[in-house]
Amino acid sequence: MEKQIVGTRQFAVLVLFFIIGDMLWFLPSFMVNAAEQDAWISALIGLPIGLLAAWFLFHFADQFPGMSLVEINWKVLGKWLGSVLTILYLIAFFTVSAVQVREVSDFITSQMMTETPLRAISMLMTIIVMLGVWSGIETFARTGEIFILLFVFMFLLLIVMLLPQAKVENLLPMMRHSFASMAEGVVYYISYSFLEMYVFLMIFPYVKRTAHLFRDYMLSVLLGGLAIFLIVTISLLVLGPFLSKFHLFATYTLAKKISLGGFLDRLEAILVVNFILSTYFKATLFAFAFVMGLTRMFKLKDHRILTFPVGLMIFGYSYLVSPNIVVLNSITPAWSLWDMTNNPVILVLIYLIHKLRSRKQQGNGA
Amino acid sequence: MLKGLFLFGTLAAVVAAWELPRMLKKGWRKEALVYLLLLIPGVIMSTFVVSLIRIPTPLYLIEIVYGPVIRWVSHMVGG
Repeated sequence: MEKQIVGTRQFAVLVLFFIIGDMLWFLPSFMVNAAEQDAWISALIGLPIGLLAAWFLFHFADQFPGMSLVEINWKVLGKWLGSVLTILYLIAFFTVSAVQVREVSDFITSQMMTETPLRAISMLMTIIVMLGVWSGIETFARTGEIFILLFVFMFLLLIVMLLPQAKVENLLPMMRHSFASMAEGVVYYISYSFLEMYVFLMIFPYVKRTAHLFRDYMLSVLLGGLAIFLIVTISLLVLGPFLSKFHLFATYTLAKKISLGGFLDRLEAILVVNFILSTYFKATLFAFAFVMGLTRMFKLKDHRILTFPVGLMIFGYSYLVSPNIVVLNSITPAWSLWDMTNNPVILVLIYLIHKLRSRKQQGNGA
Repeated sequence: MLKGLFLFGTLAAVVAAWELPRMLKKGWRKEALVYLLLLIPGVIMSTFVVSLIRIPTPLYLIEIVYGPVIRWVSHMVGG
């Protein structure tokens, strides 16, 4: 297997795409459901927590240079326990990847092409996801570099075009929610974007170490966090708490609202490209992590041979994963707890065990 | 059921017939084994999609595991 290298800028772009990910579709409705008109305050509180989580992940990966999650688990926990933990993480990678595919097909079949069967869109989406996996992380990262300009342009277009319709009254009355519901909003804000970044533990071994890798990484995380904060805020400002809560795809409804002087409207079909793009990057990163995890765990010689079977599995699972989108969304609280177990809880435990053990070894050596 | 199994079984058989000999020629026995082990659930799950068969989603496992935690937390904060 040839050595693949991801440059600093490409890595930063991947992080940005990952954080925005599928949050462009769902975050407004999740957060507004929890904290109503105070959701934007929740997002502001969540941003530093998310940055902290991202910093921890980088620091964690720094302790084990050149190792992916699979080798880290083996090194710290030993062969058997490490393998069990790796399998748990692989299940998470696979599930998230299939769910991303499912979200795109659910959106297309419920909003844009209502007569098309769900599985047709799933099939197409799986094919391009697996194409990304087959080409390898280096090619994939370069793809991100090309698309980021288009993405940023369309994202800003969405925000700027909606500004004339923003009504500040929608944010009033401020701070009327209890601590608990604000905290729930914070949990939704950080878990699907920042905490799910544990997938990057499979990508870090391929990233070229440069002097300002850490700076660019944190900058990217900050920009991504600001972007999803902006999405929640603009959704509140334009649609108001009530509509943001009940529209499943609030951002799509937002895009439909763009109308400039009666000659620039119906932009939603173009802006949907943006949503699909970011979800695609998230899905492919997770699918890649799944394939690389299997490859490294069984010490296979080439990850490409797994593309076809894993593609079939993701295609099948994206259909089986939930009967409809409502069930998928009803699972969100449990899902965010799952993310929390995966990223801070287990990783902090691994980190502590590693620190204690290396200190003990130093004590013995002296 | 049969239609889907036939469709994806044929597809998987064709691809496997093309890929497996190349792997075995290079002496990649372990790779071939992992390939086959992943192909079987892949074909079964894809068959469910084509035949529109629903099985209970495995995501309910997360609900079962974390449901008590959620109830406890919402009890603690008085929700």
